[in-house]
Amino acid sequence: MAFPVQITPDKAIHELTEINQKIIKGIEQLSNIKEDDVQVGITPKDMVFQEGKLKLYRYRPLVEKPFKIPLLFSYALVNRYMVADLQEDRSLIRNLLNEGIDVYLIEWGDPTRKDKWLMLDDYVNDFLDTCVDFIREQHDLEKINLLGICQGGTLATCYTALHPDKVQNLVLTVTPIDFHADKEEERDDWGLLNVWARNLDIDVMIDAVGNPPAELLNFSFMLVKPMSLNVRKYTDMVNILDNEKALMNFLRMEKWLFEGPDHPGEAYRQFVKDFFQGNKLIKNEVMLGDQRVDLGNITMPVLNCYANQDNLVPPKSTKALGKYVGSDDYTELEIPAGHIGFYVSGRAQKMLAPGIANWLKERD
Amino acid sequence: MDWTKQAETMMQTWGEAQKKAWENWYDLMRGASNSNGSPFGFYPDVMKQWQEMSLQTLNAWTAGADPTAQNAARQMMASQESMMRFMQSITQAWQAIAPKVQAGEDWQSVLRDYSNQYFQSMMGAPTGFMSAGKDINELFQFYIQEWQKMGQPWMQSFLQSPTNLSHIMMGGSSELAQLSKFHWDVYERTFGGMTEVPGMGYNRELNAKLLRGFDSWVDMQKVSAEYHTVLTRTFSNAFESFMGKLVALSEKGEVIDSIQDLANLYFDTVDETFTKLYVSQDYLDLQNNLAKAGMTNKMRQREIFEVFQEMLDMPTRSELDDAYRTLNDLRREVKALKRALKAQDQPKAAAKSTRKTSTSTRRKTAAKKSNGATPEETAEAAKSEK
Repeated sequence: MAFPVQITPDKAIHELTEINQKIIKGIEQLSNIKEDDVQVGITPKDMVFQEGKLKLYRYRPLVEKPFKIPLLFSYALVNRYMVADLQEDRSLIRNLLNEGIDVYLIEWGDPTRKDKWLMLDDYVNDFLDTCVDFIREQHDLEKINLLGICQGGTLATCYTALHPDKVQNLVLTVTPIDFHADKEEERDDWGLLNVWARNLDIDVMIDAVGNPPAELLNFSFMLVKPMSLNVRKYTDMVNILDNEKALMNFLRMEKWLFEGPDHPGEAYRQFVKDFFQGNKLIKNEVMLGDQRVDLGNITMPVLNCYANQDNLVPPKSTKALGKYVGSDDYTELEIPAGHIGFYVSGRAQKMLAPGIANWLKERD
Repeated sequence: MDWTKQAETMMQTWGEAQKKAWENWYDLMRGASNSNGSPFGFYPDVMKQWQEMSLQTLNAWTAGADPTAQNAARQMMASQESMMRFMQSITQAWQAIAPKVQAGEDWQSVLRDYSNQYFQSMMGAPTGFMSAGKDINELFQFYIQEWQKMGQPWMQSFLQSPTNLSHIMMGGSSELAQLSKFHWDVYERTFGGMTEVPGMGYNRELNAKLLRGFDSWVDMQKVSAEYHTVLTRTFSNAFESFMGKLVALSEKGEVIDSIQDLANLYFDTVDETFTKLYVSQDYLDLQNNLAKAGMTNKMRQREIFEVFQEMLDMPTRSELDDAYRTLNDLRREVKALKRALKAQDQPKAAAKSTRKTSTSTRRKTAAKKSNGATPEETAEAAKSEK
């Protein structure tokens, strides 16, 4: 039986020396990076509508004749939309523009304590609806295309079920639909956030903090894999310190991860209770204002895109939509990536935007 | 092959590697920062040297850099330190268990004793995994940050306390009692005196709220200690499991020959062990209790301060929340009214455009429908006109 650790003195010293050299070089490099150098969400856009904190952007087209029907992005209330436009060569938005899609995006605005009382009803039936109406009027269209990202996809799903007359095509990306589907997963580390949320006393949390802070939400994400996301990520970072491009990619992702907004309190209370705990969406029991969300009302074409390695929103949670929508034109697009890699990985760049654009073109 | 000798060699290797690494590190840092720095001499606690020097130079170098880059640099240094600590612990552990493994004796119980000792000391240390990531204590700072600002005398009791949470984490009830006593001292010096005044109204209300606040504070400390104890135990389990994996590798004739590979195996093992913990009902209950205790404490503290705010005619959090709620309700009403007005305008506009092309009969119908109808009816009328 061989002794399992065969790290020879010369190899250990060499390895540590190499690490030290990289660290020194890397810190020098890091120290020269100024705030303006780490930019995310830089694809050119114009704010075309504003109401309070709500902003609607239209991206400047990158082709001469974009598609007739514009596509509106509905982002989550957690983190920021920049994950869809992290940098020039890792941008779902830019890729869609290159494919000829006319892209609009909603920025919900950072909630402060006064926004604690905003409900999901406000986000869906007021903010999202206002933006949809604005675009419809601008383009003189009855219906537009809607794309949801993660929790923003859940909101987009609710919106579409309540306003089917305004949505031409629905595109969802890594969107939780069945919030208890993780129970069917074989891996314990898939859907841990669902497990935690189901066991959370959300009332006492919202009553105490008002709006759950971004730091707390982020902490929960990182707790899922404590070593990989808190230690290993940074020990691995040593290996890219001498590669300026890779280092900047890393820092942009860090910026996106750690600079999210707080979550509006009452909306979060409802999201945890009705979606995570009650799993009411698939039961058609979610109430937004006085309206019931019935997934059967989604009769327009649906493209449901998911990441096959997604441990935060497991594929089964996303794919469940196919069982509940009323549409005869339902398509799934699998991307070989995790929840974040879905938007930023090299492979996703080649698959996601073309997949969405082609699907839309066929239905334009 | 003599495992005892191998383990000793590994220990020597690591000692030599650390020394060499430190010398290189020191030279490189001096060269790169172009400063003389402190005249560090080599001394046995490489980790402490590493920590001191890296903090000193890191802050100087990255001052003025992008905050994300600064944070990444700090995390990277903390992670390296974690890795070095891990290597040190693993070499020590091998020394403890190697003779037993080779002799085919019960090495697991020796390892268990060793890993318990090691991780108890690790959880008490200011560095390591917890500082490499977002410290659990940092989470608590968040939980209490709002009342912390207002409750300075109370926080002082916590900060000046001769003990700290890490001792409580180890399950020491005497420390908890001591901490509670300190808290009571401050209470006596501040609000406590006021509550002794026999009286009505504010004093009685305040007294009750203070007692509730104190209870919730102690509850929070107890659950926090329990939570940290579970985390410590899980680390200990992960370390044992990791060493078991190494023994299993050797049985298959496989070896690990780089520090990075060894560390990666350890990281994966810790994550696996934590995943098992996370889905257990005991953990879920504890996590929920921890969140509840922290949040309840925050609310109790708020109640106390609101008494004082009211006494001083200052607006309270609760009053502001009420006002915000009213504002939000009004915003909704205004928005609904605007929509209704818009819906009323739409049929008029539709009617105007219809007049140009439609018969007089249809014009009459449209005018009739929009007159005194609800917004939904008028919108419907507009649609039918289209």
